[in-house]
Amino acid sequence: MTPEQTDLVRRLVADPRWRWMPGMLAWRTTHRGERVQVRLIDGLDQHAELADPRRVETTPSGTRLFESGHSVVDGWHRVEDLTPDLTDPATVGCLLAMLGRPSTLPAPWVVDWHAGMPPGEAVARLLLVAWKAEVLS
Amino acid sequence: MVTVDNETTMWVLHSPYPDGTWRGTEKCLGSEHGDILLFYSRDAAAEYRDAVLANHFRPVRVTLTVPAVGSVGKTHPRWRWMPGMAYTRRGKVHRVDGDLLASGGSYDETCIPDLTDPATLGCLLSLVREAWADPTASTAATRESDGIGWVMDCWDPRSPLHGLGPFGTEAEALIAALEAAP
Repeated sequence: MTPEQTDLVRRLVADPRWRWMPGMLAWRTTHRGERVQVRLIDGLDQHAELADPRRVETTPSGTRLFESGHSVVDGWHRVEDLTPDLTDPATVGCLLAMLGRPSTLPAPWVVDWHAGMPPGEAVARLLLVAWKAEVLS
Repeated sequence: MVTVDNETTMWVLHSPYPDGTWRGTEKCLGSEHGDILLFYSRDAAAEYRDAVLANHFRPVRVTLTVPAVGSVGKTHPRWRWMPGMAYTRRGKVHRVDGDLLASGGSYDETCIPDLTDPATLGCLLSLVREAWADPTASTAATRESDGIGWVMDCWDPRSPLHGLGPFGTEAEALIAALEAAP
């Protein structure tokens, strides 16, 4: 990812309206600096059972952790360290669902075409704009 | 083409036996036309009950098996399973495993794609864009006389994809686009 794309996904997940949805593909960086993917099966907000992340728990101090059974990253990790993969079609579908169909926003493909950016990145940028403008319900 | 049934979860308001057990669909709240009232969520059912009814009715989750919109191509040449898609098998919801696909594995005819799932719809959109070789292919909601409709949209107004529809659901529009691909 470019620095701009890294900044984009950080801003996305930092927004209180962001939610991890079932089917999304996420990246996390291991303590050794390796990037590994995890596919969310049931989302992070409603259920604890995930594809690789097995459980999600909140510590007494409020930090949300997920337990991974991945061979490389076995153990507990911070949910905040996850970032969405904007090139993944399933993740893009979830972003589109979050965006909904507000009549005041251009169709995502308009943004794709004009800016020449990948679909997921375009939808993500549109989502941030929409959140900032508070045009989504 | 293969017609694929789809399962969806709804909620009803049910009048249980005194011990709380199920009394059958005839003991579910009906509309004035005699149909069972269905709600999209437990909260919606409870809210209706609290506003309109005596409170002994309880929200009960039911699974409906309904014909899919049109015919999704599990055998269609443009169709393929993609990681993150949701499917039901023997009544349970699962996700397509990318590692299984990468290793040459597949999913049999008992696996039914969930065409209401956002991640699945995102994958379907990706298949449509690939089939039409058009990264601008998208869906758009339209206002129809009988409610919201869905059409296919794309940058080139001369494309047969442009304005394809309207269809009753977004999934139906995507499936039609997939089947109409050149």
